This record gives sequence, structure tokens and C-alpha cells, in this order.
Amino acid sequence: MVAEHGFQAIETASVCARAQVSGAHFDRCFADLEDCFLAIHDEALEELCERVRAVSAERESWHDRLWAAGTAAMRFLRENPVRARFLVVSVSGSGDGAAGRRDRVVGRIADILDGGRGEGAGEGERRRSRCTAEIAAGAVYNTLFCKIEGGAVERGEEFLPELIYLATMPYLGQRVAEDELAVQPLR
Amino acid sequence: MAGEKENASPRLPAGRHGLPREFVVQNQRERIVTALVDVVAERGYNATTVANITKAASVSRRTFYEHFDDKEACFLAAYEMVAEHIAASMRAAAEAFEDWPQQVRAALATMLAFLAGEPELARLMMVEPVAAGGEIAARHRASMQGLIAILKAGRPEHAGARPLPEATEEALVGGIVSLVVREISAGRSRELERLLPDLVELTLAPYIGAEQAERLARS
Repeated sequence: MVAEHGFQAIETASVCARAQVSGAHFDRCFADLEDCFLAIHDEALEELCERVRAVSAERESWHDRLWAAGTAAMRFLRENPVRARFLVVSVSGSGDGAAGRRDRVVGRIADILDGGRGEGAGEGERRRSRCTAEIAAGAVYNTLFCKIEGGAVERGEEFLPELIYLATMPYLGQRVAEDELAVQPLR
Repeated sequence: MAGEKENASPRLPAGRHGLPREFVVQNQRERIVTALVDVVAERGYNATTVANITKAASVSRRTFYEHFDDKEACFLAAYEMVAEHIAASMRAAAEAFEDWPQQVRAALATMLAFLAGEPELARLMMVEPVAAGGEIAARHRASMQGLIAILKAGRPEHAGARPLPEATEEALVGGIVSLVVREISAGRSRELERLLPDLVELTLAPYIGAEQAERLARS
């Protein structure tokens, strides 16, 4: 319902009616609607991270892990368009906890990107900080937000090279990162 | 800042004051907007009520609704006012330089300096729109167009083998905003200016290359 109408437009009663549970049952499970939203957000994010972890662990290099993680994430979002919208777009306007959840998603992306420190050679080989990872992760998240909000989630793999370009550019340098844009991702 | 705001829009004397109606109306509107900024800084947008705002502004509920349809409209009025000020300052700072990389650096420095100097407004402008959503979040995204335009002006500087992806500027501004929001949320608004070198370097790198961007950022 949040993905369909936005958090501000829904009420506990309509959520209970859709879920076919009583108000009392809802109250036993959650403090309020925001608490319910945040719990589902946590669950969906954990599932996405689990998928990403499973494929990334098999790859040796940071670059390969990045592609594997990106491919798995895009597949998850394409296969679960409602959860994709919920995870990335609906978090805006979902109460005071929303900013924290948005930060958590960006933080998880930054964790992966931060592994790129020391990966570069030549142009990209310079000191990098956690700040670098967080700016790049914010850029990736913003691109995802725009694509999902614009209804392009079913073409997730198509814009993966653009995301990988944004993610690798600070670490590998502009010239190497540009090559990512020419990659045809597997669907 | 609170003192300056009170001076800018003092409460009118009670009873028949003989002041022109236009002045009274403008004064009331400014007081309401100023009150919203204070209340939102204290309680957050979602927990703020019209009653909180009218009490802080010392105006009646009726007066509030003469000026604004609802709390969201009042917030947007405050947001627009500050956004226009920041955008104008950034443009002026950029125009002081001829070369584009310096323009970007100046614009970013101006934005960070403003937000660092006004922590309450920084929260109102950068953090609250995410929690508020709807029209406010949409307006917040639209307000980034000024910075996006400054970055887009750097496309002719790009010497790469492939054209930059169409959404590069939007992504870069998203990265900048994301980090700034994170710092403000963590209570580090006053330290925002220390982010400048990293922000400048990563923003310029796609256009002028990492080495030149780093030199300029750390200079």
C-alpha cells in the first residue's frame, strides 16, 4: 500500500483491512504505522543484502564483487518491483525514521564501495577516505531513486553499467571507469 | 540567529496601532514563517502542528489560515525563501570566477558555509524534506536543479573517450546531498566545510580527470 499510495496517504485501518487482521492484532505487533513501515523496510533490506552477500563472497577481486553485487541487486529489484519502490522511493516521506533508513541503505552501498581503496593504479591511485565511498554511494542511490521513481526498475540491468561507472570512477580513475559504460550486462 | 529573526519581524503592538494593513499582513506572514523554522528545528516537521506554529508566532489560528492553506504550505514558503537565498549566493559566488572548475568549487564552498553557519536552517532544508515527503520532497529535489545546471556547464571540459552518461550531474548532486544530509543528521552541521575537498574532487573528476580535480580540491 505504501508503494502504491505513499506512506502519508495510508491509515492503520486500511492496512489492517488489506491484511485481514484486526486493529488489536496490529497493535500487538507494531507501535504505529511508522514502526510497521520501518520493520518491513529492515526485512526487505536484509533480504536484498543477503542476496548481494551470497554472490559477492564468491568473487576474489573488488571489481568482480562490485559487478556481482550490482547484478544481484538489480535482479532482486526487477523481480520485486513493489519492494524496490518501498526500499528506495517510499522511504521519502515515511516519518522521522525514514532518513535513518535511507542512510542505512546508502551506508550498505558505501560498505561495498569502500573496499575499492587501494584498488586503483595510476590515475586512480591516491588516498581515499570513507567520505569518498559515501559520496559515490549517494550518487548510486540517487540514480537508483530516479530510475525506480520513473518506472524503469524492470530495465534494472540496463543501467547497471552507469551505476558501476559512478562506483568505480573515484577508485579506478575516469579512463578505466569509462570502459564500464561499454559493458553489456547479463540479464 | 533567533535574535535577528525576532528583530526582523517583531510582534506588533496590541490594540489599534495605526500601521498600514500591508505592513501588518507582511509582518504576520514573516512571523509565522519564522515561527515554523523555530518549531520545526525543535520538534521536527512531522511532529509540528499548526497550533505549535501559531503559539510561537503569537498569531491566531484564523490569521495562520489567512496566509497559508496548511502546515505544508507554510513549510514550503520557508523552504522557498531559504532555497532562493542559497541559490542566489551560489550563483554569485560562481560568477566571480571565469573558469568552470573554480566556479564549481566556489558554489559548493558557499553552500557548505551557509549550512554550517545556520544549523537550524540546514536541518530544515536538507533533512526534513526526506521525513516530510510529498510535495516538500519533490520541491527539495527540484531545488537541486541550480547546482545541476552549474555542473552541466562543465560538459565541454570533458575530455574522455565516451560521452558522460546523461544522468551524471543528477547522480553527483545526489552524492553531495546524501553526504551533507548524513552529516547534519549526525549533528555535525558546523563541521560541514571540512567536506569541501572531497566533494570538489569527486564532482570535478568526471569532467577534468582525477589528477587535476585532486589538485584543485586540495589547493
